[in-house]
Amino acid sequence: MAKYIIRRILWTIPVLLTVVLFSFLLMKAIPGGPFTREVSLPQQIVDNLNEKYGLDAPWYTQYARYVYHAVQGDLGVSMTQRGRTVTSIVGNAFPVSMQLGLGSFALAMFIGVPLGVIAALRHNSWADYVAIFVASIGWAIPVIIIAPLLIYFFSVRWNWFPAFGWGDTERMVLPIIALGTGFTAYFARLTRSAMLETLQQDYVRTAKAKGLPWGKVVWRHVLRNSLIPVVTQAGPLLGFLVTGSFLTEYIFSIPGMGRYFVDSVTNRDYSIVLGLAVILSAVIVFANLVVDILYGFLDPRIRYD
Amino acid sequence: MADDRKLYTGDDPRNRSYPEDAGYLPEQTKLATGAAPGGAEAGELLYPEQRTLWGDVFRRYVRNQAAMGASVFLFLLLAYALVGPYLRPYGFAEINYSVAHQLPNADHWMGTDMFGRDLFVRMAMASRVSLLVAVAASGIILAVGVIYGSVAGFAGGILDDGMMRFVDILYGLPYLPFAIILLVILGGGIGPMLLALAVVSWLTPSRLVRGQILTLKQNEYVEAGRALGASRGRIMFRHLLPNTLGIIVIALFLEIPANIIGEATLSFLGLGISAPNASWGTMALEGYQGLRSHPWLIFLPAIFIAVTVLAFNFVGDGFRDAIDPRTRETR
Repeated sequence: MAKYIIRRILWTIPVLLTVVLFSFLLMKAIPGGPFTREVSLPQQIVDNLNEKYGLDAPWYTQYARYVYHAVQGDLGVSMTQRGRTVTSIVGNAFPVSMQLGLGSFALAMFIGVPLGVIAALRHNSWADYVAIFVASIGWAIPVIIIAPLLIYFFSVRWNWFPAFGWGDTERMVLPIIALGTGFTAYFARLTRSAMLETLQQDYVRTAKAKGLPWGKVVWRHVLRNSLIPVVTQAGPLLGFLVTGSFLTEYIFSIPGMGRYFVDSVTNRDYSIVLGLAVILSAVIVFANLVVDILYGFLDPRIRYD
Repeated sequence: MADDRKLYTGDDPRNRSYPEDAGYLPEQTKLATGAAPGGAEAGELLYPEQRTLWGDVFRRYVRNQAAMGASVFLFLLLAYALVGPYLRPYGFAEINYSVAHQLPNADHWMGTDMFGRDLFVRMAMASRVSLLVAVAASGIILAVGVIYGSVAGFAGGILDDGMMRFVDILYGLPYLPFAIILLVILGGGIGPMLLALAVVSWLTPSRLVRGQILTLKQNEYVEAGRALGASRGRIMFRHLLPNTLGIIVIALFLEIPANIIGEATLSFLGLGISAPNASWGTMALEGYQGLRSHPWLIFLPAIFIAVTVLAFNFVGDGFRDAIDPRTRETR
């Protein structure tokens, strides 16, 4: 097991390096530079600025320099907001995105999974049909639709919750619902089908036949085995949640990473875009790592491939 | 059903086709077609009708009410997208401020937007763009995924290892940021949109297809083919790929709704499709901007996007259940 974990951790290094390289090269390919203005600056000034920010070196030198600084926690300085480092901007934005993502994840876990369990245990009853119907609709509505509808009804029409910003609990409600609905539905469907499959297993029949109370059968034998596919999906989803928050942050004006990213792309602030892309990639790689390790614990067969 | 077993009439197309490719068949089989063994007469029940895999799939699919309802809806939507603009005397970008912000009425069947553009016509054009982009992107994603995955799975060894490591690495890329950066680099429009949608999405199909090919490669009939001297190409195209068709079709129908949402999302951010051209994403954006005073503008694209995605999901689930009944969620 230790060997498996170490191998898995070491593998993240080349992955991260390559991801950073891709982001880096893409960023170089964006037309126009941070010093491109409507009124063009004298060539000498542009050259000096490029030299100051190290933009005159060949790309591989810039890349090596970037990685060297990044591992020390220095992601460079913002090219448009004077005096702000990318690390400080990320440091402000990351916790906000994290709260939003984790809130939605919790919603999916605590509503989606139980919904799936109930649907599977009451298979083919009205509760099952209602759950499946709600889950299908929840999964079909993207954030760009559900967020404006939530704002319209709960904020404009009934004035229950504020529609913009972040910080107080009441401001968090609508964004978390907007982002969490799709994942709740997804978890419900996933749990339900995994449960239905496990319920068919011989060991469940055996447990029932030997007289174990049904509640214990479900808790010990069905639920545990059904949650393996849910856990394996949860990791990539956690990554998606963090990136998926882009739209939610954009629509609800939340000062998280997604909003900074979209703003910075339009302002051509390379260093912020690159820094955010690197951090987001790192989050996804880390989430996948955690899932793989969890998976190794849950399903021993995985360790020996 | 009544036609599950058919009478042998002697006129079955399958029997007629026997002599044509008789070269492939062993001597004994050829004899069986001339006169049925055991002296069976024409019209006598000889064997249950041979059911093909796809025939079975079709029968099971048709029995699935949700999937059939969704299929009907999608056909209607397609008809609306194709014919809709010719039903009304308005242009999709024709501005007329005197009729701005109308709700559905006799002149404007779906109302008008803030510029007085007729939403019935505009929505039809938007449906064209959104459906075209989603279907084309899904096609590209699957083509790349299938080729990549089947090459890796078929080659095996170091090549497979290297190709799959590459896929593992790309899995670390967050999808939306890279799609956004790509669209900024390439500018808007349908072509860049397709690229942005496809750039990371082919990974999952390629893994799926590789896994399937790896499993199929173990089968005896592949070994038999190889023993009989079949070329690698023949094994690939005659024995392996046709058996992955099922998962490819399922993946296609799950990919399309994902790309509908992807296109809408990117257009909503002001990237990709932009005014005066319409897509569901741009219409949702316009609706969002006018949300406070004119909610109809968001309700309309909301209904279209949600119902269409739902319909494609039903069709995809229906196909999956029809192709492999073991995966069915409602037993």
